[in-house]
Amino acid sequence: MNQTAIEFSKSIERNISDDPLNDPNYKTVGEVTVPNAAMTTKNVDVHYGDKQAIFNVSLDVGRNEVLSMIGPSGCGKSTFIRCLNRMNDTIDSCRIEGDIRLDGEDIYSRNMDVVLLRARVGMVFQKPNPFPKSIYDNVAYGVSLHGLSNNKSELDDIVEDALKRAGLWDEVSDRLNQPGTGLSGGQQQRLCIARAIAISPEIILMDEPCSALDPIATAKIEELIDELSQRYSICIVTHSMQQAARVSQRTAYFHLGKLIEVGATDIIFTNPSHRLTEGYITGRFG
Amino acid sequence: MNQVALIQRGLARRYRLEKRFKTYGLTAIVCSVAFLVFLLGTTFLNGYTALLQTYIAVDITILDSDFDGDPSEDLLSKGDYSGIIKRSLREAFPEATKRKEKSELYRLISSGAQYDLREKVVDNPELVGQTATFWLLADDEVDVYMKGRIDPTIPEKKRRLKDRSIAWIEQLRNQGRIKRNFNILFFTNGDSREPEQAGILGAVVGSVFTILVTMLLAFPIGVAAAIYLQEFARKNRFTDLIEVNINNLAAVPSIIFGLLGLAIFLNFFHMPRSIPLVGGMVLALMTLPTIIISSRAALGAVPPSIREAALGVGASPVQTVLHHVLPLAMPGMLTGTIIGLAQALGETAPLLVIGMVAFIVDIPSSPMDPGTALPVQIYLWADSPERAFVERTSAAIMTLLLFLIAINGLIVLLRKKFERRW
Amino acid sequence: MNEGHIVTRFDQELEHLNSLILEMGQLAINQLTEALDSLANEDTEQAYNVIARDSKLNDLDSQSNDEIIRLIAKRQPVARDLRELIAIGKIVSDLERAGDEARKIAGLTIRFFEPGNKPPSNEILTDIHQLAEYVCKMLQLSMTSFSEQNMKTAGKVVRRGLKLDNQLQSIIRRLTTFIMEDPRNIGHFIDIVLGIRALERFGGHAKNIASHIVFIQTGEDLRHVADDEFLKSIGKH
Repeated sequence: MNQTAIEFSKSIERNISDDPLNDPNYKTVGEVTVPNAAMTTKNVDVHYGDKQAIFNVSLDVGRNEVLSMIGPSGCGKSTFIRCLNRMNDTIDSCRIEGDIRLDGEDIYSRNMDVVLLRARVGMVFQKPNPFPKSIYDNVAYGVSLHGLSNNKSELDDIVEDALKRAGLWDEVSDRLNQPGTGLSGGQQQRLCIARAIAISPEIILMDEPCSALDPIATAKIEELIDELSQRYSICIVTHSMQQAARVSQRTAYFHLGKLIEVGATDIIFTNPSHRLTEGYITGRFG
Repeated sequence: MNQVALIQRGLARRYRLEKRFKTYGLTAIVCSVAFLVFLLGTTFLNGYTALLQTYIAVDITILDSDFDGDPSEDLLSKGDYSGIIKRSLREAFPEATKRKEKSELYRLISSGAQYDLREKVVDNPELVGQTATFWLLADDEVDVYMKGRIDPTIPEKKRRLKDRSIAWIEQLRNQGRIKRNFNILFFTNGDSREPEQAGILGAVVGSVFTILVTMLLAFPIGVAAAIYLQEFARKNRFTDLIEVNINNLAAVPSIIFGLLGLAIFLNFFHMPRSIPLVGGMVLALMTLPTIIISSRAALGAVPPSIREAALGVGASPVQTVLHHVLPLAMPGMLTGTIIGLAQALGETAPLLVIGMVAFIVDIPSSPMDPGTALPVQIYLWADSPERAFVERTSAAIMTLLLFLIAINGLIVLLRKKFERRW
Repeated sequence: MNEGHIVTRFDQELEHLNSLILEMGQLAINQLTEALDSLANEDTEQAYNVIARDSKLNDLDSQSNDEIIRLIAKRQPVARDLRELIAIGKIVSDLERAGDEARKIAGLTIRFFEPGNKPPSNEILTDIHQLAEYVCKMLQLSMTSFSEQNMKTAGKVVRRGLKLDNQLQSIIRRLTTFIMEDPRNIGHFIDIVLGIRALERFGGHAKNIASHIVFIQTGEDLRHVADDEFLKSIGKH
């Protein structure tokens, strides 16, 4: 957490008595549900050991929409997005309560296979993390892992298609056998996106995908997100409010583990309802 | 301006401190290099002479009568070659008449020379009935004298090689009947009570078998344990306990492992004593904590982003570890294994306890044959009273070091191979 | 939202912009009062001064616009900050136009009292003075409302604006009787009506500024809604 975020949180604590954050049953401002949602979450609580990280969050991910989540460091937005494909399973002390459904199926039920879930809900991480393998293998790995291709030429087609859709094909088509780690940061991140879309997920989760990239690479990713939203539902956690404003149709503001406000991005960035949202996006103390 | 002056005042002191600190470090390095040079230097100076062995030329006449007049192949190998050599020596030095003088004369030649002679005669039966010059293995005392390690000026009573023998040796030398050859025996023989016949091969083979067993046991078990503990085990009191105990085990004196091996493998499972298999198992026990700890460290050093990436595209935890984490951790694991195996290779105490200290002349042909190991051999020779064993001890130490370098080299090579995968 | 931005420089820049607006507001008010003084004192020289000073208002207008563009480019404001900058941009043009209206009143002085012209009777001019005082107060209230970001005061401006129409009607009616008394007054009458029209616009700009202030606070654009709805909307907040 950076200094300002700490001060920000402290200033919140100072006025905690008149604060909705003190209310355990705080109700999110704005419409949390959408019709025909790709993913629905209801009353999600997340605990790390004794510490509660997420309080009673309900939020739907609409079909073919880009949903951005913003909020100060430690507000739980990353924790929340990681609940959506059960990446938090790897943390022993993490306990998740509530109802999270993908196409109506409870993803935390015993019938849900986590490997299958992650094939349906792909993820792109903060730091570009290509495997230390060739560009081709990076994209092909998930495909062959799940047995999505019958032969080499089919695999080749899938890899090419994924790289094309990630906007990387023209840059790497002549060096598919070179290591993915040799690409520039922005290319690496697009490679990671290609790796995720190669297995044709329904939803792509992005956890601060541009925080390690320069503005031009960021712009390319944002353009890509825009294109991808034609086919996929995208959830993006970002520290950059401008990015949220640029890429998303809906924006959710998290604060200290609570979902303060959800709304159309246009509204959130011109006339937010909650004073915490306003304080955060205009760069003031709460 | 004032502030600049303030900083400047302290600057000299800060630089001095820095310089002093660098000097300390440099001194430490120089000291350790000096110690190392001294150690290796003395070892080498003591040991390089072991690579040469003295031979004495003796004119030997082999008579039919030595084989009861029937030099058939069968009887050739049963001849009294010791007697033949003794007779030839008496002929060469007729002045030795007294019993004591004669026995002193016989002692110029190694007791092993007769076997060498026998071999030659059996190979060439036509030698029987002829007189020929044979180069015979000299006794260790002669060898030591020839290497200038016996001072003839000290009183005769205080040395084993008497004045008379020295006179004979000098006489032989003047006749050109003494030469020094490359000591091939040292590398082809097993241990022996006679220094001039003692070789390192038995110990080398024993060490190879022991280390092979250790490596084959400790590496897979250690790596598997590390993977489980680091990647799959839930963090709770039980795993904490295991972790603490592994760390403790790494610090347990090696002899305790020897006693453990003695109790379990020998007394409980009734495995034979002195065999490299048991030695390897004991050393594997001893090496495991080192390998587990370093392997866990190597696994822990693999960036979590790689794990996330693999899990994120839907790899199962085992696939994540096998496909991505393990290859990246392998170089680190191999480093830990080098350290562990180097330690095991130089270990003596546990081997003493399980009986690998026995005097074994035969070279083991499998891990189930009784054998010894290099460090134990060094220990045995260092303990022997004969002067000739001093240089052999040093030579054995050099062999052990070469062995270590070879193993390290091999693993560094493996490491490089894995590291090249970006 | 009492607390300032984490980036205090942004606050300072906004503060500077606000002070420019207040300066413009004060200048517009002064222009009107001086124009009226010149009318009352039949002082054409003062009237010329007023007209000359209008360029000062224009300068402030462009200066503020530059400032706003710079701030948008540099700070990428959102939400309230964005609304504030946009609204200030509009307030600036309203103030500049209000200044133009004041200039028209000064033009009236010159027309009436330039040597060789026939001055109108004082009776005709009383209405202008009354109305001018009224709209001047409106702008003053708007500026107070702006500096305090006070919606209640903005409401007062709107309420005054409601009465402005009625006042205008009665003034026209009264002036009509003057024409009927003496048709020679028709030339002056047209000038006066134009002056009144300018003052009415002046009041309109004051009302617009009030609605911009409401926009800053609530995000609602009330410029084109009926006045009573406007008031209802302010009451809501």
